[in-house]
Amino acid sequence: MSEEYVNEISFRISGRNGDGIFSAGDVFSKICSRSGLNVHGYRSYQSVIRGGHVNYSVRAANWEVRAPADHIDILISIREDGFLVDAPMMSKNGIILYDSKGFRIKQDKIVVPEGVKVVDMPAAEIAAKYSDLKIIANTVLIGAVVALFDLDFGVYEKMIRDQFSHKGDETINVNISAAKEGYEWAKSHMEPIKHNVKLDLTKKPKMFIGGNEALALGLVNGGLQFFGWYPMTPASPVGQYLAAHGVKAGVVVKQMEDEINVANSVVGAGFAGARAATATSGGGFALMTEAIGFAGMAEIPTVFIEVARGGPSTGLPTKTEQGDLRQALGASQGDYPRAIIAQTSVEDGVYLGTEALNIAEKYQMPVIVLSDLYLGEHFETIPEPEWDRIPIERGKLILEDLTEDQLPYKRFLLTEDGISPRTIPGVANGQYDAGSDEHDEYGKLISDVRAGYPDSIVIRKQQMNKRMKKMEVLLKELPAPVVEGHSADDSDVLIVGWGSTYDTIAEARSHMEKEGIKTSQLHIKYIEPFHSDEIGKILREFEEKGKTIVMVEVNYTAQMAKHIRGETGFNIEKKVLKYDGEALLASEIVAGVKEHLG
Amino acid sequence: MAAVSQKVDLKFSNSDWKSEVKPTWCPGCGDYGVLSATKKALVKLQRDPKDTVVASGIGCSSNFPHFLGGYGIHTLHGRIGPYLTSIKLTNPKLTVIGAGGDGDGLGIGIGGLIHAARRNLDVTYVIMDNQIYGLTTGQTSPTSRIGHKTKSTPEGNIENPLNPIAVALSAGATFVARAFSGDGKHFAQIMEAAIAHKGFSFVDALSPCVTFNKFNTYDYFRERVYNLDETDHDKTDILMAYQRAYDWDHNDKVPVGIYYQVSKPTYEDREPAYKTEESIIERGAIRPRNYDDLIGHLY
Repeated sequence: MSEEYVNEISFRISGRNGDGIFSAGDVFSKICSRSGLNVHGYRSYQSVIRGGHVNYSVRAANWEVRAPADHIDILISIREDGFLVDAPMMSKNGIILYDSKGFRIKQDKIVVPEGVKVVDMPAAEIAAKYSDLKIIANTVLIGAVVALFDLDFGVYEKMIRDQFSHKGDETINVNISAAKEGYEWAKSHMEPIKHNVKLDLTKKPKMFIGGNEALALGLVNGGLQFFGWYPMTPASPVGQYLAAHGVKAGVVVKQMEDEINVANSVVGAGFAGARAATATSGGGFALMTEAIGFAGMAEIPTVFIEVARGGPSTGLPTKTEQGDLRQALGASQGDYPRAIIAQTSVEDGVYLGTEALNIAEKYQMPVIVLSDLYLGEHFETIPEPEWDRIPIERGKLILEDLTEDQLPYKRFLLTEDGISPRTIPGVANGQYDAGSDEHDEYGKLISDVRAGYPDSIVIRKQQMNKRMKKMEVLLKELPAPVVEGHSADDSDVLIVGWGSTYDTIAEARSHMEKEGIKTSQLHIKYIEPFHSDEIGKILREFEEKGKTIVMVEVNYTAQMAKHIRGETGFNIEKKVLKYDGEALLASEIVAGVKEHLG
Repeated sequence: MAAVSQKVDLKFSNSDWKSEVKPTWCPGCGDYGVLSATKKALVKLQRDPKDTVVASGIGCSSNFPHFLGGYGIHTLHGRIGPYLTSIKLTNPKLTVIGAGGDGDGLGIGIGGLIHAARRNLDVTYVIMDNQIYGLTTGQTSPTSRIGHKTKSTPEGNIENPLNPIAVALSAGATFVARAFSGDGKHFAQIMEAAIAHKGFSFVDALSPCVTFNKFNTYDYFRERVYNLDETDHDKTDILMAYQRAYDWDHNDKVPVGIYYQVSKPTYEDREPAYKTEESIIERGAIRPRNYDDLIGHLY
């Protein structure tokens, strides 16, 4: 073993679906967070219930790790496919643990990357001493990994006690004994990985949460009242989290029969006065779009979360892509007001959930939140949320009965900011009809018998102008993006990204900075309405000063670059694009940007 | 005497349900009968317009909410089902009525109808069934009879018509009725029973289209309808209800009245979020009361 010390913990466990890989990964992640570390957990999986190859990667450090690792120090390879899929990512001095006898791994399948130590550990045999359940082998193996990273066994023991508290003492004791023997076995057979990560067992551990769950939590903290959904990978964890935890907070969570009816149920709940949302992926979102347009037309507050996966069509259901931006931009017929916002990090979700509900209600419009599989389904330790950072704002919502002097009530009253006071069923004298047809200030249709009459032509224009005015007002409320890192005068490269790639680009920048490349970052979160002036100005300034500008996106056609070009006229020619379905790595951005720098 | 004093005591009368918007239906359209029966039923039941929502889809009959006081939501084609579901779940105190056509509810929207019915929400769904697509000027509908010549079936319809009563029965509606808009008095009684029923009420309204359906006319129905109340029909017997449902197909007779009515728990009664409170709307949009329920497992 080399004398080099690593400054982070990078671990992966892989095997088949059904091998308990995610559970083991979650346990190890929490061992790390309970050791006072910042943790990033990412799972890769397939669309099958049994079999296939799945893995869970854990990266932990004293600094805030917010991107996946591009190497593995310790790999537990439950099955032989780990040697094919995961082993190529091993660090030079890494360790692969496997159990040839327990999991019948043939010797000819064992490929040893250069410098990597491969250890055949009788995990299943050890587990069998304590239990008939083969899955206990994972407990033994994690015990070994705790030893090999020189972590505290007591933390693992406490973790087991918490994990199995509902199953009783016998299960707890079996697991602790198996874990302990795995730990001892590793201590007596192997040298630990040398690292300089400092553990702190006294600190309160940070919250360890996924991007989807963070968004769901943000919705609940923002006063969510109704959530309609239909299961679809990778958005399902939002609905599952709310079904398990949101209901206790008084959220009505309804799994509907299909996404068309999900979307319409959300619009109905918004009409009835509930803070309402849903979450789906690209295919489900495609079915929802007609209802989104209705929410725009009838000015009904609604939040639609789209957690994208690899497309087109059914595409890569368990892989990631930022491929649905153009679908979001093109959703539904006609021109209608709506906000499109991209979640930029796991932590961002906790606040964005509330912000989206606020924008929806204040501006009485649908809000589309874009995320993707990588962001939604990876986990991070995040700082304790500031629960009151974003207040619950309901805008011009009328909950009291209208009095004589407030009549006649005009639901779609023409106003300066385009936003009309809104009643909900139950409010006396506030009755109106919310229509998908064009209507006048009262909500009366002008689309049928009055269509084409001079008064209707005027009303149509007035109502269009009123609705679209809200986009202008909203744009002023949204923070314009700013350049992070070096200013245009002092920069070598401006990296432009959007949504889920924020943290990975930031990490790539830190690597480049160490190599002496001066980097700047422009990251886009608010997509509609769009800060065309501000963004155009930044891009032109970098261009005028002769700086390289690189667009980083996880899709084939550089959808955001097209949007930027459409909105600003500025064409970003240099791109780093990834569309193989796997999570974007900092090292890939570094390599791609360097290529453009020449 | 009793009738007079009752009238004086009424808090809500016909005028409370009046809308400034005059119906746009053709003169003689069956939908007028449905509207008037619905108003009568709402007055009889003393429902408050401010606490009533009518959700409709797209089609001639779906203009319904505009012609009635109270709140209305004139939605998209075929989507009444999810609106009934979420509006009732969001605010169980509301009287929620769905009103649309046969194309809307039994063609494009049949999935939503079936799933709304199986939930047994306490809502009423009336389908103004004219066996034709009227607003698009006369194409075949899911309930068009075999042989019916329409713009889309110039040689006569060759598709078996859907049986709305049988569909509602198998979907789990706990109140299934049919009424003929040519008999306003009976229709009002059926609407009253439907709205009063605690559970999912389905009403198949035989509502002739005088402009585009020259086949299923008022006379067509007058020759065929008979009232279930005048028979030995047992409305708690689902098999008997199925038998009556097929009378039109098998015997060319069209029963009107309540086919089926039973009492079962409603969805909203079983909704976990309503274990501790009555209306999430009255509670309002608030911060979580207990963060540990939300984040306790994340450490």
